[in-house]
Amino acid sequence: MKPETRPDCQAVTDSILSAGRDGGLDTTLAEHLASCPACAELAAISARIGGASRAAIDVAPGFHSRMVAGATTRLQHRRRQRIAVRASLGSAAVAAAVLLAVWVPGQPPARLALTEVPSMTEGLDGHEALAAALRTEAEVPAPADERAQTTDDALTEATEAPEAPEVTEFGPADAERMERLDAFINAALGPHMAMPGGSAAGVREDAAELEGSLALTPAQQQRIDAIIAETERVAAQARKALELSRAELDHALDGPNPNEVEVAKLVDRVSLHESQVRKAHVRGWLRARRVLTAEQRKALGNHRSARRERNAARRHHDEHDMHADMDDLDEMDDMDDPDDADDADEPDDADDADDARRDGRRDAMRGHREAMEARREAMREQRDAMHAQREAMRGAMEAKREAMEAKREAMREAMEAHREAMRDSQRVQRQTQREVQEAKREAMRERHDPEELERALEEAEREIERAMKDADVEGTIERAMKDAEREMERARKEIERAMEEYEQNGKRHGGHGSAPDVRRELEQAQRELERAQKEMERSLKNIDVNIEVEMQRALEEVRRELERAREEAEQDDREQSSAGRPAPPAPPGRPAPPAAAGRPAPPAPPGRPTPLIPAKPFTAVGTIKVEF
Amino acid sequence: VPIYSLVYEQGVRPTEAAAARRERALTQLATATAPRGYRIAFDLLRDRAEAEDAVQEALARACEAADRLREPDAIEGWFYRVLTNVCLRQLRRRRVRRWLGVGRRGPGNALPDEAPDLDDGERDAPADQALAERQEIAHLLDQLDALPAQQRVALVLRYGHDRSIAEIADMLDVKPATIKTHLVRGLRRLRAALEHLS
Repeated sequence: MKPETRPDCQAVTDSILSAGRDGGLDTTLAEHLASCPACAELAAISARIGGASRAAIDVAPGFHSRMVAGATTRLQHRRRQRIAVRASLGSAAVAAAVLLAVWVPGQPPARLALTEVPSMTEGLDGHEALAAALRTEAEVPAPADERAQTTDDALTEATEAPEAPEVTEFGPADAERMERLDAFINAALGPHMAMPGGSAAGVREDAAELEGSLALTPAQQQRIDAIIAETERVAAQARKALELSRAELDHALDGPNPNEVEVAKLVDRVSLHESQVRKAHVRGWLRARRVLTAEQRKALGNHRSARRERNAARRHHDEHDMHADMDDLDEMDDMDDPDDADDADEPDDADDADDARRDGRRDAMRGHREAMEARREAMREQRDAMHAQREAMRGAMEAKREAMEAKREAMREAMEAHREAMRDSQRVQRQTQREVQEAKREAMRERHDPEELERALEEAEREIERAMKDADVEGTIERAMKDAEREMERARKEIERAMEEYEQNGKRHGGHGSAPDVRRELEQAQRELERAQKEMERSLKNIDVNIEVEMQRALEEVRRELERAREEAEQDDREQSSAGRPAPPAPPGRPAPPAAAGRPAPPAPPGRPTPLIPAKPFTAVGTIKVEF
Repeated sequence: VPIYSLVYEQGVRPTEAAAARRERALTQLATATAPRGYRIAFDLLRDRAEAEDAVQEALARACEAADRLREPDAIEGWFYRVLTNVCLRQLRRRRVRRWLGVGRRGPGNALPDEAPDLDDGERDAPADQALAERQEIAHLLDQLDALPAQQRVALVLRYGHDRSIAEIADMLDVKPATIKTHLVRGLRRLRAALEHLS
């Protein structure tokens, strides 16, 4: 069986664990400890660990200053690390936000530039901007599915038209054509025609066309007229604001260095006023429609659908005529060929008129188609560009604001850390200077004062006398002597009384009182009394001797301590003078004396003066015990 | 003065109040607690520089945590706990460095300067006996150095600094039964190693 598994061994182990280095074992476990070498070894190891740890060195001089300075430096370092980590995270977040704001999937970078994209106002009013938009479209063709986004009938018609020819350069002929087309566009895309519902005036026009079937009552006509007037008033206000916004936008765009943010705001304002105009017309149309009865609404719906069909048929017919005209034009081109000039007859006036009419219609249709296509593309490009630009600017502004915020925060924290560091360093510096000055004063005083030892000795003697006075040794001895004398007197009286009783009993019983046992007891009492007197005298002598020895030992300790303190001060002074450092370092390799109880205290760091008297004051307490 | 009194009654800015509290905690710890902590750290690490580094690190961490402690009086216990953890980490790093062969050798437990001073009775003993005792202590410290870090810390705190098992468990953030296990295993390993040496 292993020793550790026995119950006593386990109990000894538990006792060692719970008792610590100074604890003891009870009697039974102590007996087991004496008989079990394994347990004895365990106990010895615990005691040896305690002994090894008792050999721990004391702190070196300047420990307090070093600890405070080191901890302060570490705190500052940690604070700077935290600030750096936060600043890095903030910068990364700002960079990610900027990337997300700027990056648009599938969007060519050229469309993000504001100066390369004409504004809506320029597209409506300026020919050069429209030509620029056409050039942009020619450079970057838009996908075909984007062309069916407008709701206008004219735009839908233009979408169904064949592809517009490529325009590579804008010349004077194009300018004339564009001027001619502007009138057509304004007529076809007027504000009340730009929406599917039309306007309140459209209702009245429809009613005028349907005089027979719609049959508006006078009250209905009056209400519709009022609605039209109100709608026109609201639309006029919005139109006026729209014109002002367009003028501001033009002014901003004509400047040498237009501000992108301001231009974006003006574009938003123009779009807002345009939508207000359209909303006013649509709202008026809806209010006018609510005036009608159900039959009138039905008749109006039929009329509008019939008109749409009629318009579609007319457009189809116009296209057919246009193709026919194109064929005629080709034939005429063939007839104008010089090779066929001989075969040509003299043209009559009717043919000339037809040709002129066809040419005009053909040119008008071609120009109309091109203009519609260009306008549609320009508007789409402008809308996309404005949207992308607005998003980019918003993201950029957001990122810039976050960056400024992070920078401001980092600067504030850095300033605070700097202030705190300066404050801590000044405090540590002041404390170090104070300790150095104190150490220098102490070292100078101990080194240059030759009577320091004598004063210390006198002080130690006074301390010993004070301790003896505190302990009241003489009083204790005197009290013990009085107690002993009283005890001796009482014992003497006891003996005398016993002798008297013995004599009286002997007389009473006829002279038989001198028994040997009684006499022996009396003699023994006499001997004990004499021994007690001798014991008391020896105790008094021992007390005197012990006090003398303790005094000599204490004085020797004080003398040794003074010598050691002087050596320490001289060594520190030498190191300071050689190294020139403000704080005296710890002596390398020199063990400081252990701080054990009853032994002289180690030399204190320079901040505190070296105690000349041992930390534990000398105590002299005499104990006198007299036994009878 | 509590920090809320500084902030709300005396009108001190919160950052300055926190700094003042940290400074006060640092002064208190460095004056009253750091010397004992230094002895513990030296017992565990057996190196002056590393022990002072550990004490400085523990002071910094304890002062950082001074604002977050619910009980201001608990900062001393917190300091000892941080110090023990720092020493444990240092011991593990030292072991890893030793295993990798990149660090310097152990702190030299057999140095005579680090050996204890003898008592009055032992001072009169023969020189060879004192030398033998110092060598024995050096062997013991070497074997302590070879123990796992947890066992070493438990043994030193229990028998070297007379800390109770509950205190050691609180320092190492483990259960008291775990500390008992570490103590028993550490004692047995020490006994086996010393028997092998003898």
